Amino acid sequence: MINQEQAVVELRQVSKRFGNYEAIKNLNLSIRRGEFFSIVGPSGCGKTTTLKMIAGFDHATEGAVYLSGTSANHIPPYKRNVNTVFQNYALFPHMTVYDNVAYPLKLRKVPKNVIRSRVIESLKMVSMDPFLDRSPNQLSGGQKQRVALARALISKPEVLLLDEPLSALDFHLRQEMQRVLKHLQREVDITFVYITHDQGEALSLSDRIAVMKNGVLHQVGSPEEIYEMPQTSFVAGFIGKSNLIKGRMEGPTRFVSDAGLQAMTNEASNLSGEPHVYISVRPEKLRTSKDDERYVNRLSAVFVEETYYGADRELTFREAGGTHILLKQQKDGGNVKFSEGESVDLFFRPEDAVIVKDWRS
Amino acid sequence: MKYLKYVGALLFAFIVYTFLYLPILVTILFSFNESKVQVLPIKKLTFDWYRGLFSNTELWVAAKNSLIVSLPATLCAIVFGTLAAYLFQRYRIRGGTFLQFLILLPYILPGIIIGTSLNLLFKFLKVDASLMTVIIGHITFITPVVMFLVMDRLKRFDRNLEFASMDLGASPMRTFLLITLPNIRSAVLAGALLGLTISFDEVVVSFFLIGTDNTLPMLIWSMIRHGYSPQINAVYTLIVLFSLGLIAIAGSRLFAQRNSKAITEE
Repeated sequence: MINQEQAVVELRQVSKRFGNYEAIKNLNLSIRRGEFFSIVGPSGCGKTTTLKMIAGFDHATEGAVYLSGTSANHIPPYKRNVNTVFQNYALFPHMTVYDNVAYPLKLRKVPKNVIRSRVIESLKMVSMDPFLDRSPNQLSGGQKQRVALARALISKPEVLLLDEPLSALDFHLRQEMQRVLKHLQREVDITFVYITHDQGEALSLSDRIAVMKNGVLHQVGSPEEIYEMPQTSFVAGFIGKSNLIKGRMEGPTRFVSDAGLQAMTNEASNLSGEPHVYISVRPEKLRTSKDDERYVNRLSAVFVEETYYGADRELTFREAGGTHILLKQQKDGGNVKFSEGESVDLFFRPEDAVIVKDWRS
Repeated sequence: MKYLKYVGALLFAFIVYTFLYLPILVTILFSFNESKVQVLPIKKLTFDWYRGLFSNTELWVAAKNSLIVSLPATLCAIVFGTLAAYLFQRYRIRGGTFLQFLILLPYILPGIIIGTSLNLLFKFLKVDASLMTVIIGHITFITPVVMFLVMDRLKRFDRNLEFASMDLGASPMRTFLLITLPNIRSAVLAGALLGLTISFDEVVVSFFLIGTDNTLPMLIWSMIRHGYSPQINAVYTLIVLFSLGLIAIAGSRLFAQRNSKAITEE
């Protein structure tokens, strides 16, 4: 194994049970050195448990967690070269900002003058150096978050774990902190493992994303792969919006829906054995007219309603099987108005119909 | 009608508070009375009874004994009470509630039961009664006071702070000393002050466990048995002020902590 390729965090066949409840089911995950890796999923999907096992606060019932190639199952959290940014920041209320950030270095008995310069350097990185002497409860949520980041990064861990760090912040602050995080990760060149239930956040921040549901890993890949080529119906519906139509494959690229829609699709991979599958069509890939020759698939539907979103609009239709179909269009003045109950033909290209496994849980 | 209810409630409150505090005020008042008989009106005010206290060596020895008992007993109770609170709060112990109740029991049970049972135990173990045995007796009822105050504080303490500390490289022991303890300090201190107050005034348990020595409350009790002296009023006044002082500090500590916590949670 080449050292650069070696995973900084690796979970091998990890299962975690709490009594009879199986929180993690046979999870294999390999996180590369220096990447921004996100784990997304709805609450209860096992992402926080996964994080706790990497940090050392929880232990795998079966399987093992490897840190830089060595099994970490028996290494306590305080001996792991892994730091965490907690959801509620967990700043020590009885210490100033300075003492909070200096805490990890003081524990390691670093000389005082070194501590001072490194604390200031660390706080400058997150633009919090003017707040040295403040107490944590004099800071706003975003400021606390920055201090928590400085504190977790000061001892230069191999991996930084972030447990939904932005969920308590309001919309604008969250966007600002997303920028801070992204730049910070490039600057310090430390592996970030980012836990979130916000798929948009994961798409915009990450190098790679793992999507989990009910303790099962559904897919790992780059944001583009996850969005463009979802492998399961859950991933297609959770990451962005998607129209899922149920049916079966009658050939490598021939799909027939339960309601009788016939469609040409992209190449199916190993799904021929499945009794039924879904095709996933993103709302922005659908057209209300046949733009060019490639739009060979036609879906007859009935117009239901229009929702206005400023730069674009979303049209809701109902297809023969009763499923609601969303269509997203940019507002460019030339958009046709439909009336309720009107029959409309919708078009899409074969490469926009992604075959996904029927796997919602 | 509403007005009547209001006056009624006020009157009731007045009666309750009078019942509680009038005896204390009267005793304090008579400690400054020159006359040896406690009758109103007071003819002349004096500090003679307080001056007399300084020459009463018996009293000073008893006061010293009280401190010899209360201080070490409180110190031990701080350690036991805090550790017990931490264990009960942090680890799910099978039958934890019952075990907590067992620790609380010596505080609820009449002193006479604790006193006699410890007395018998020490006799059985052939341990001579002394201030040492009194200290052990006092530990049994101060510990629950500390424990319940600290537990209450730990319940409101964010456990993530401990996780964060360990995550940043501190062992569980250092985490307790550097993070947990500073955050529950006020509750520990309040428990200690309340414990000290209870211990300092305690008679019954001490009576069964003490040898030839006397603690201050025991001496006062025996003084009253031998006949009334206005000097008792003076000692009494000092003890009341001392106890109220400790309770006031403990109370302000507890409330200050609660309020600051409430503000940060907003």
